[in-house]
Amino acid sequence: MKKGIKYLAILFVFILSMGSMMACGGNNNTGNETKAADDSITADNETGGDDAVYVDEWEIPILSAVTGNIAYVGKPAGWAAEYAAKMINEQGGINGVPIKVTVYDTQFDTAKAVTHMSSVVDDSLIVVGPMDAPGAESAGQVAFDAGVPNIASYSFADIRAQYSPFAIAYMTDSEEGDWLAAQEWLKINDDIESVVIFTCPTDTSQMATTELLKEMLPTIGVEVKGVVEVASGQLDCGPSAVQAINMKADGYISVLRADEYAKIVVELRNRGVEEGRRITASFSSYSVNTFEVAGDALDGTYIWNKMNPDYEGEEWQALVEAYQQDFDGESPVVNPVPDFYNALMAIKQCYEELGITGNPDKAEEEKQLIAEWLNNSPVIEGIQGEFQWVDGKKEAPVYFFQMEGNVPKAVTTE
Amino acid sequence: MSTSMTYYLIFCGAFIILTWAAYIPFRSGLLYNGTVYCMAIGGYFAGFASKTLGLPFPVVIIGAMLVGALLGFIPALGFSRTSGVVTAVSSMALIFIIQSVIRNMDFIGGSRGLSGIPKVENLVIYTAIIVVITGIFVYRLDHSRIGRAFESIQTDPDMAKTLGINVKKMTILGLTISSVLGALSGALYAYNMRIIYPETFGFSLLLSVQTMLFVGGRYTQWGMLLSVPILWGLPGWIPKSMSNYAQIIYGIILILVLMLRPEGIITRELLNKIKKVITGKNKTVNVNQ
Repeated sequence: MKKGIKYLAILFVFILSMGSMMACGGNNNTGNETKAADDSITADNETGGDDAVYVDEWEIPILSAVTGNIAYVGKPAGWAAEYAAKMINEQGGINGVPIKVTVYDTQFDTAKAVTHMSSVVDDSLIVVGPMDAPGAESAGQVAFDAGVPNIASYSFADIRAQYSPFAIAYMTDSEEGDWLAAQEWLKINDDIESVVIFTCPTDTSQMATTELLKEMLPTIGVEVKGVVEVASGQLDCGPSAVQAINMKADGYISVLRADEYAKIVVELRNRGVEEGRRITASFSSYSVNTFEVAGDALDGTYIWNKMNPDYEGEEWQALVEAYQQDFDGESPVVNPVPDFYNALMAIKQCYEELGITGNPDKAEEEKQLIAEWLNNSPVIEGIQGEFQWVDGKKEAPVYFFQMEGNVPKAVTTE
Repeated sequence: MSTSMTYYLIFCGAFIILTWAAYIPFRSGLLYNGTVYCMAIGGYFAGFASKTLGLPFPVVIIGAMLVGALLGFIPALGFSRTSGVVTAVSSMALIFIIQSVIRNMDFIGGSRGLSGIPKVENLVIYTAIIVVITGIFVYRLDHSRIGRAFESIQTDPDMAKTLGINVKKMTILGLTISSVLGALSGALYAYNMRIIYPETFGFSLLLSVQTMLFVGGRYTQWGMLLSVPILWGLPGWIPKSMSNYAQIIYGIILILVLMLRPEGIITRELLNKIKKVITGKNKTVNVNQ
């Protein structure tokens, strides 16, 4: 008995020690080998010279919400990064050295995002993600403190300024897109003079967009009759739809995510909004979930996106084909797919133009150079047209669609 | 120390204190869910006081504890009249209330969260010191007359009354102490994250805390020292190929532990046995005396 207790005590101590070591080592890339210094030195000796590439594999951590509430966006984002790495490697890697991406699941949890970021910053020249705004804002300070460039969801100018030059937005600013889309919608439907906005009070990005629309719409002569708050995961959206209809507005703007928007649009159409053209939605609703759940209720409604799923470029079509193979025939419709792909391709261009070596002795200098290059980049040829970063803000086209049945058809491009 | 280790230790420190905050009301038989509410208060106070008012770390920590005590004392007056399931359910309402209040307070960031909380150098050392001090406090409390009063209330409130214990006052005291510790953990959490959101202090956090308490062992203060590092570090332990199943593994561990050891991993009986092994004595020692 006494012996058993001793073993139990030893086991506890062992578990504690192992837990601490495994969970919080300098690099916890489970299943992936960290680059050994000896290997790097060998590589350097073989290639010779200070400017030679020091590493024999570029490791790039990807932080994405692969599980959790926004996994429908996070999983494709992680896939896109892995696909981009595969393409880069097929083209000979970066400066002749292959690239390796490791996807870390932040679970749409800020503490998890910080934990993962802290586990990778010590050994990385750059980190891509978190793909969600709260995660990026939280983990961004870890990257900033470590002086590591971070291409993530920096949707707000103040946060980009706070972490400048290390904070680079992987996508265009949502608020601007929403405002552009609203203007486009109102231009096409010039009889709409008053609107109701659907928003989620617990979503920082949606609330910021709502505030912007409330401020800007009156400047173009459109009255905001009211804001209807829809909780994340709300099961019955009927009362919210009734509340909006009772405000007697001409049109409805939704900045909700896919699940809530799909329910709202169905309720609106079932409760008397006959013309779909009176409803417009934000890019965050652009998902297969919305199209499947809402079905024909979407007919005639508008929606905007930061990507065009029907883009005809050869590179994009190849990506779509690969995506369909991996996702049971589904096509990519969420913007992090082209955006994460573009981020990896931009990193390749950056490393090659700057002649990044990966030499640990020059790490600080190289990280600074990478951050500055990306923060104010040259015009880059992306998978869906050109884009550029200006002070960390991404400037790229947005796309506007009108639904035919539950299929989006491009209307115009800004 | 690596960045990863630093963050991990600070998170563990904050969550150990938070779990102690949940443990103290449990000592007097209350499953109190207001610890997360107090954590939010401490976190937001720390963020606001350090960022906007520019107060130094020690002042902020003490201030957070005082504010936590005050705002924990007020609901404690009401909760002292409840017991069992009623306390558990009604104290959950505090989470809704604090989240709604914070969302509507623009001067602390509203729904966009409070960012730009200043960095504190050597926070990991301060956290370690605070955890040790708090641990000693909880130990002393457990072994004091108050601790024994808590225990008698947990065993049988009516019997406690016959022993001359003022159950209502003791409950208020326990909940207020819990609030102070909750606010303290919130302040450390805020300093570590340097940006906090109302959503941070929600049900998933409450679930984590209760899991850490129940897995570690809810009848002693030592279980948290085991459950918090293990459960917080769990995603890092799991092989990459299984990372999508992290939540399932988490749930399975919880079910297995509670099935095999309903009182948690560290029980008083186990502590007694460990103590006997260490001291080499066969005599049963009550660690609570």
